[in-house]
Amino acid sequence: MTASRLATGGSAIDRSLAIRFSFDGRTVNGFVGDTIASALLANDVAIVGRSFKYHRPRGIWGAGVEEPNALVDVGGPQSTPNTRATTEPARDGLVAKSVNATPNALADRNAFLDRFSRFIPAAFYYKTFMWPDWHMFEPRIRAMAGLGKVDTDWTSPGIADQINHHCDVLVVGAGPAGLAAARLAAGAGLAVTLVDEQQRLGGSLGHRACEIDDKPAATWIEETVAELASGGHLILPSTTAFGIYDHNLVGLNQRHFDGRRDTLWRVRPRQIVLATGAIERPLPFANNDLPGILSADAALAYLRRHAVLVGRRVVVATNNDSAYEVAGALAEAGAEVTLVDIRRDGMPATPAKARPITGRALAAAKGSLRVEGVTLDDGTRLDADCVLVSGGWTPTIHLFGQAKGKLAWSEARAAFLPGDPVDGISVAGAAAGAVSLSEVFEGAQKAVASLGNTKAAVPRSTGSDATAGLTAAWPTPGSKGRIWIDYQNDVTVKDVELAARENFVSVEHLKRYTTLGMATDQGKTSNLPGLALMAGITGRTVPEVGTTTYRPPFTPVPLASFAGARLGELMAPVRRLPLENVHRAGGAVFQEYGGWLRPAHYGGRAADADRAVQDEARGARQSVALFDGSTLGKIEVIGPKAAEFVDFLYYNTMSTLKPGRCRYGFMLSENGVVFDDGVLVRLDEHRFVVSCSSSHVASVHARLEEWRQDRFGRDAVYIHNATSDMATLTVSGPNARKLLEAVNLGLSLDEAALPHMAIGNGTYGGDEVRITRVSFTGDRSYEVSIRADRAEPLWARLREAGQSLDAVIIGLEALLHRHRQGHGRHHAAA
Amino acid sequence: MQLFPCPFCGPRDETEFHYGGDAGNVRPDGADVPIDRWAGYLYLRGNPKGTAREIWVHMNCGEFFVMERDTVTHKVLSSTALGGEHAA
Amino acid sequence: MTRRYSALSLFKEGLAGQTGWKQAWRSPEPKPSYDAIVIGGGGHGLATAYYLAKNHNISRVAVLEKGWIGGGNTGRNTTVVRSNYYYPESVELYGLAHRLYEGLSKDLNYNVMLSQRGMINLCHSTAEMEIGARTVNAMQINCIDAELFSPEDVRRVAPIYNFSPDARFPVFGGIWQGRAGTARHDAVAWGYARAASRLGVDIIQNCEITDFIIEGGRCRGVQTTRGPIRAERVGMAVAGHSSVLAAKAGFRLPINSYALQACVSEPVKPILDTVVLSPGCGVYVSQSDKGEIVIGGGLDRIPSYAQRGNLPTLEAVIAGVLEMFPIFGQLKLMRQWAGIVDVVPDSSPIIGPSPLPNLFLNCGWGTGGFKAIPAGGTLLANLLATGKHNDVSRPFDLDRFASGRLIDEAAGSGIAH
Repeated sequence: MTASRLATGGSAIDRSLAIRFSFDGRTVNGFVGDTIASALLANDVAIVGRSFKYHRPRGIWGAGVEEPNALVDVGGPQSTPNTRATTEPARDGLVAKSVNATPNALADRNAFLDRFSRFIPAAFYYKTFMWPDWHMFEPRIRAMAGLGKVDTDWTSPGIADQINHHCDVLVVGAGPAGLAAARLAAGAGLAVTLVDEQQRLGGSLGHRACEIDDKPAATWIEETVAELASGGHLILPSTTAFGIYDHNLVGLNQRHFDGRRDTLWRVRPRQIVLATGAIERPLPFANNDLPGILSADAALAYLRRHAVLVGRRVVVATNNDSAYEVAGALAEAGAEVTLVDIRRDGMPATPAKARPITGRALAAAKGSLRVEGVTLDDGTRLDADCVLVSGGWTPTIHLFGQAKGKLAWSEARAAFLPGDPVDGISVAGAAAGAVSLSEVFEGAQKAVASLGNTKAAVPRSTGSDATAGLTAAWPTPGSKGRIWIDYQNDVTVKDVELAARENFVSVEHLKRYTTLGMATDQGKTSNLPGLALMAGITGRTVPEVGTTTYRPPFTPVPLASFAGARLGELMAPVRRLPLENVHRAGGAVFQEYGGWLRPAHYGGRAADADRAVQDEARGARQSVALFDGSTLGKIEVIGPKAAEFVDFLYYNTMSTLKPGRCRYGFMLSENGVVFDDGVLVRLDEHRFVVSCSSSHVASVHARLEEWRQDRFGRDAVYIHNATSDMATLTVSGPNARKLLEAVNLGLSLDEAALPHMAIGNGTYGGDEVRITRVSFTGDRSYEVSIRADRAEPLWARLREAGQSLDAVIIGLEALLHRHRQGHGRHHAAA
Repeated sequence: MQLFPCPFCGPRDETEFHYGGDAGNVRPDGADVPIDRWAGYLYLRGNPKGTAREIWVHMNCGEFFVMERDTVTHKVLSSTALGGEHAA
Repeated sequence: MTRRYSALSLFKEGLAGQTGWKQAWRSPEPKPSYDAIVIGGGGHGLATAYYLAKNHNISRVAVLEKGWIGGGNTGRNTTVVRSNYYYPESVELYGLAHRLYEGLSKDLNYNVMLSQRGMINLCHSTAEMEIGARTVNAMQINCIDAELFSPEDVRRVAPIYNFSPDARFPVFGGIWQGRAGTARHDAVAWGYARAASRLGVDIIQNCEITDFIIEGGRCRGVQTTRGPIRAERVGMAVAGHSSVLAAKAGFRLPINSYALQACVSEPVKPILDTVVLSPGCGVYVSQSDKGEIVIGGGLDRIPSYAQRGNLPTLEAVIAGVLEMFPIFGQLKLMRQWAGIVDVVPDSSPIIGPSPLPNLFLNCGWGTGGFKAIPAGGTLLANLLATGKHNDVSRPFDLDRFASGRLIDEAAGSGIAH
């Protein structure tokens, strides 16, 4: 291959803005508008990577998301391993490195593996490395695995935005079908969102010659996009629809090129139009993986978008009409072109300047590090520095498949097309098997027809229109040489034959046994040829073999997009005490208990935490302790059937409880296990407070609600979870009463007025306080509950009054300490 | 992301809901319930592949309801307020 | 024809173009009757057939699979093998599986790539460390290897973990099981299939059960999409779909079916050597021998039979991964999928006779069936051969839901299944 940049042309590049970046340490020159791949081609870099298993030299195959070979690690703050060079914009100063190659793609130390390929076919590892033990071999095999490298010094450039979005119609793909469908839907008064994974809208119109409504395609694209934009419709370039999920929620990943992380969109459209195009397939011939062998359509894209001529002496091999335009364009651009067509008749006219050979297929490519020529099936040899192939087109129906759409085999297109319609999803354009622009526009019209009458006119193809004319050319069993099917994972025809021989004939077994289609490209170029070969080997038809399950994502999506802002505390927010800041100022060391962030102990660093806990516990026993028990559940049960309701809830009888008193009780789960225990307070005849464990508040509340709604009736009982309305401050110890009296809450603490298991009502600073006399330490204790937002002054007053009594503030560990001295462990009750 | 119709709030994201078990699972009453009857109530489930009648709670509003849906296609067929599902 | 797998046979076949290999397993037409039928061609079903032939000398056995073998949860799980359980009954069960796994490649003559790279269950607070200590003590008492790890120990086995003081779930230590690790899931199914087939077992794919043949109140075989097949004893190992078959046999099970999702990143060079589970983040992570970061989380929250991934669970799980390993923020998700699992109230499996005489159960494994395959197979084979429990399977009988003798591992070890 002797690729070069032409002096003029290139619709995507801006020649006034030169850029420079490095690839494997080599300087690469390009222009703004180049992808990494187009710039590498313009600089005649043939070998861009090494294959996963055999470390075969690999060049650029495609110009889009289907690329199996050209993966690079991009360094720097936006470092991403395994970046697809064909879709990654080149930018000044970028540092790219080939993957799976040491030290670089050109001179890879592991290239020797290819010479042993006959001994390491598909799935060889299941048959060996058992003696003496797999553990002896695994480390070295593991070291060989993987493609790109994780940068261990990487720090996150920030969080990814996540956006929920609703629209009437989501059009996926902004090629001719998508643009037409979007325009027609907009004309029907619908809110349209149009997305395309490429930076430039237009899809194939960007490099295929055509005329729409008597205008050049570029003009039509511009006008259509402008019309949609001015109509207020959302247009998202560089945005991939990667998955259709339950109830037709569509996941989009939007790229930015300004340092921001990608954005995840969750779109809920009324109607989805899939105009996702088609992907060109390779042709089967020996050594079809050599650098310099490209998709014909990609070569045309590089020529017209980036002004890159991929070779000087070019063989174009095809089984269909689409490569004719490619041959003509390259010949026009100065390449010496030989057009080899598998067909004998029914072809379009051979383009001027191209030499035709008909009724012949490629048998093999020659060359070691890059292609040097080809041999035809009649033995003819042709020199070539570049081979462009078109094996037909595979409609991109991944999203339709993800949505559980059934596929229908088309013999004419030699491809699976969307079958029975799926609710809310229509498919248009090449994804639905359309070839000519007229068919594409007709399909677009159909795709949106059911959504209402449109004021927009259906576009017309007014230039020469594409034709399909295809003769299937699948890999066949028994072929000579090594014919690649999955480039990235190194799966050849022989591997598929081996799988069949060993009874891995189910398409899913084929995939798993040979790893066909399991690489980062998810088999976009390899799946169909692979299963067609399996059909050929086993004497079945392609639809009898069937396809593997389509799984999201369509192309790899950054993990960061899924995580969004849910990192650190936002990943799982902790519950916080109303007095947290006061505790912090008081030297509290916090830990998480049942979802709550609570003081474990006060004072003391981690090293003498045990000591701090001991001191707190001793203080509580000797005099009096203050403890923040605000997390304690406070669920009010109110209503005429409240007493009957709590009897039902608790194992014990609670309806006999007198107003103003409380009683210990426990609830069982339906299967008889203790579910929660605690104190029930009866405020008055029809009003109770369930004090449940801190960590059980949500589940106890849900249980109460379910029985209320199902069994007792919404009018008979009302439930209010007041847990976070009130702070509960506990005073416990021999001097508890003395301390509380010093604070003066306006009620008598006499034994007669407030005996054990009774409640009293007082006030503090004009606010009502509820005092519950219960004890879980064995010493006299009072739980003082007050409005959460008024708790701080009361706490301060308690501390102040406690000074003369040597009061201590205790954390949860000291409270748990008592359990370790004889009580059962039950910190949740605290 | 599935959309569930809360009978009180309308369609909401699945993440706002919590599954509450089979609808129509009658709670045995009385003292002389045979063990098998209790075990059936507590543990045995139809777990249908296809149409299921289930209790759900919309956590945001706290209301329970009965939803009929397809456990394979995830199509929602109906939803109604809860009342008497555990009664004979 | 080359039958035995070895480095030598691979070399010889290399010289011969790899053309001499036999079918890994035969695909015969179903016979009208067998001594035993195993429904379900996943790991448990295939292992059952293998051990029937190997341990009990019963080889007139058919494995009936509605799709392709290993296509259910065997081929969809995150491949972790471990036995870090709390109750003695569980330790017996999973310990048996773990020991059998350690000899499995040689036993089957199929490299299942058991990779004992250890697993760390992190503890995120003092209280969790106390429970961790209890679990480690229980495991050691029950003769299962376990160590209580300090934060420094954790740093040694997982240096790229997030040890930042700002981490949402700080590391206080963890429960380490050094013998834990991963195995190649497909290889387990294929290895058992090949070994069973060589012992005479018929593996019949694309054969769906449409009904049971019930005569005199006993199970006498099955009706299938490939005709009736009779047998004296029938076992079922159809995780995810146990209730569907139970309904055909006329009984209900204490099972709900839920989707469990998993996903992998694009493959990268080795960076994580061990299996790391963070209960706080609700995620466990390992790196496969292909280089993919393999990610598993908790169950979906909606009962389902749809083997389909979704966003809400994925987003929560990925957030957990990035909290555990911030540098994975460079990586991209390559594939997401789901399997349907049997969820049982006490998170322990059900092994034993069913309410329909002559039909035996192997189900209810929740999210942890893969690690138990050799034991599940051994025990169901024993039941099919003898009609009786042995000491290992007895506690897992269906009758525990009437007796109340549940084995609540979710509460016991705090380890999600």
